[in-house]
Amino acid sequence: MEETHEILLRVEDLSVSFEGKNFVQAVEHVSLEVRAGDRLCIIGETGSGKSILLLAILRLLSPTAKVSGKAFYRDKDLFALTEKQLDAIRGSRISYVPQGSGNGMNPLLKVGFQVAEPMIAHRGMKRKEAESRAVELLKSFRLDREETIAKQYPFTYSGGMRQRALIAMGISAGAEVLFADEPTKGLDETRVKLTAEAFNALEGKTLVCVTHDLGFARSVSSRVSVMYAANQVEAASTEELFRNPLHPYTRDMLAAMPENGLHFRPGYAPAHSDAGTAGCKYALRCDRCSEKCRETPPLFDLGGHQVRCWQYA
Amino acid sequence: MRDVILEARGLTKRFRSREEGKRSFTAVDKASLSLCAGETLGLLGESGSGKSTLGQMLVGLIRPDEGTILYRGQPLPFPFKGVPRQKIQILFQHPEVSFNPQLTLRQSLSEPFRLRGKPVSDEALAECISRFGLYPEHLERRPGALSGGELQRAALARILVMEPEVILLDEPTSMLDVITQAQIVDFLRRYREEHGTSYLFITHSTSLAEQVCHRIIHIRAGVLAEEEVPERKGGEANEKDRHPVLSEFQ
Amino acid sequence: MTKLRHNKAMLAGLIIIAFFVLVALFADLISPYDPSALGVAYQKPSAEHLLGTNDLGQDIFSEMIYGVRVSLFLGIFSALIVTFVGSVFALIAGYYGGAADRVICAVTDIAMAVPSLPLTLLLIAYLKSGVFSLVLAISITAWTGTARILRSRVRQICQLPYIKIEKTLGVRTPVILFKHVLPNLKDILLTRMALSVSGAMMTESGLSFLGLGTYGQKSWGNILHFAFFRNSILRGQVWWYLPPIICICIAVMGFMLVGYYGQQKKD
Repeated sequence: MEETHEILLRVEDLSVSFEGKNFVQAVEHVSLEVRAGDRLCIIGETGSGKSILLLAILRLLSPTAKVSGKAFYRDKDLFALTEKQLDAIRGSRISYVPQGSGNGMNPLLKVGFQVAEPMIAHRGMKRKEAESRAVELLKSFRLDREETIAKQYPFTYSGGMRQRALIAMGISAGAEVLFADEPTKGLDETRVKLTAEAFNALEGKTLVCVTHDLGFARSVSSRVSVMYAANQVEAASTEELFRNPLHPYTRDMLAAMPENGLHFRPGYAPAHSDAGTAGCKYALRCDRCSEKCRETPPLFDLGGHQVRCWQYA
Repeated sequence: MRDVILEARGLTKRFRSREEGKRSFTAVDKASLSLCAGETLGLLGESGSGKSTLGQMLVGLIRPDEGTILYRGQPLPFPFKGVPRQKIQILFQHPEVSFNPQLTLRQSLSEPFRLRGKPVSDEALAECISRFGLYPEHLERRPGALSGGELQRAALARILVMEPEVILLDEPTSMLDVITQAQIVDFLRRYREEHGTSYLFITHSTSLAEQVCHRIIHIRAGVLAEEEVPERKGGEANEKDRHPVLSEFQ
Repeated sequence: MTKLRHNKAMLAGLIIIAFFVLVALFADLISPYDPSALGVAYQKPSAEHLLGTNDLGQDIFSEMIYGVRVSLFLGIFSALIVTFVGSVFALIAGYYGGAADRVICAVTDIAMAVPSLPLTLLLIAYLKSGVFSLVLAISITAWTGTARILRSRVRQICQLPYIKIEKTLGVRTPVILFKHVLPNLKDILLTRMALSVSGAMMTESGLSFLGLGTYGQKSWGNILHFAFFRNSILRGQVWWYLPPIICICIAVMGFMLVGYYGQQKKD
């Protein structure tokens, strides 16, 4: 049934590396397909390359990054567009909510105006109209006393409020795809819940969200992709992934969740310096590792559930 | 009842409000609690609830406006000195700023050895970090060249040199991935069982607090609210709710 | 790209400073004449006197070379005092906070509000003339900027977990300040110091130009003073009044390049 929706975003074999004194392979051969209405969460720990992946798709990385592969928005090749053509897509078709609720807003402008601004810029609304629409948007994210706080400056907001206001800003231009980078970082449990509600209240939007928070991913997504050491190691529908995780890394993560009793295998994780080398990146931490794992496993497809592990060959 | 190691009686802290004309803001209001030997006491609250302020008063980093702190029944005036100063330590949320960025791990780790009058040797340093999965090569690195998980383990190794009786854990795992979190929590549990250390565990995560703590005190807007004894979930208690992946773990 | 440009600018500054320092150290060897030896006055530049002679027949080129010593010494010495005073105040205010902080901030604000040039002139007029009075007069208000900037940085650092951990470990306050706070200020300290040197050199040449500088010792401002009051501009004696101006400009620029680009590199 999902097949009927058109593909909005397609990423093919995307790799990102940073050359220089220390060569860093940040993203290795990642392919993704996002259909209209999908809610994709990309899960991974710090340094797994998940944020870099988002930035690379939107061409927001610094020029020192070497990007290869392809990314399409509908039929447009994002890597072939001119900066001007890309600007027409970023913001109005795809909007990006950056990491860290502190830096995404201009501290000198009132929040209400900042939420209204994309509507004025991209949809040609009058300022008054846009600002009243902004208050409505803030209301849908349950920010309390919306009329009053729309007239306040970002510094009066708490981290959680700013985060939700940022999402409101992100969708106010009417973008159909929303990119969010670690929207729950530094937020407490209650605020994570409110942020999840804000995402779930977005109707008819397509979401691509990067997070390290498994519980949050579970509550907002329809599909999950797991990244480890620059590689995509598993991808499945959210329900399937949490019920039947296949990759050893995903299984270890689920077992380590507090809800499941904080279980883990002995031994400490090596740092990510092993990214870019041949073989399964998780081999050093995996208890089912075999000779075969010296070669990099391909992404096996088991009826829509993809996993990069030789066990499922 | 076991020995009470650290006790707070009516601790209050007010901060001056940033906005002009407003009254001062009470971060912690008449908080009283007691921490027994070998116990993990959870302090559960949202951000801004005053849990960190209360914690920092208990370890002698913030001077309380009112109230007293007792260490083994003796009043402990601010600033802490002598034995209590050595025995009450803290582990912070942000491992990347828990070390002086100018010093190598070796230099930072040597400091508590010197403070305790213990000889600093390569063997002593290597032993102190080895149970945390860190190796002598890590000693020569500066904090910028270590990952968050490695730094948090090193920060823990460092305060354990003081042989503390009380450790304040201020959201020690909220910046780490779930697997590292599980490892650190497990290490803390084993260390407590071995040495009878007491922990004051500050967190906003209910599920984590339920797993880790013997008692949980809720804090709301600077006021200590009800206390509960958590019921462990996900363990052996309710076999039905166990996630299938757990069958691989004993 | 920009990083490289910053490094180049800083390197240029360092080369300029190194050049003047070498000249100051080896003034005796480089200088063709004793700058205070008298001779034929008002000579034009020639092979014997590269920049001619002044109203007393002293060799201007030699004066310039010895002038480096006084200008540089005064600049660096004042900068050391300014940075020292500024950082002591900053450490106390930033670390202890509370009443100490409020007192130091009030003193800083007052010192900032005092118009510095009249105060400096007044001090010079009252104090015994000499290098140390000059240094005192130059530094009297110059420390405020350093103190302010460093104080806010110290405050930030003291809020960081690692300082709090040092405190709970029981590390003594002086050790925390000098081992854990001060080394983390080194970039900003060097920057402020370089800017203070250039500021002090400017003040010194201004004072010397007004005739309030060091008596008997040649400095660039001092040469300029005599050039100006002996009407060298009207007489068209470019070789007399231009070299000190150019040297002051280049030296000040050298320190400013190091100061500004040293700072920006950090960002």
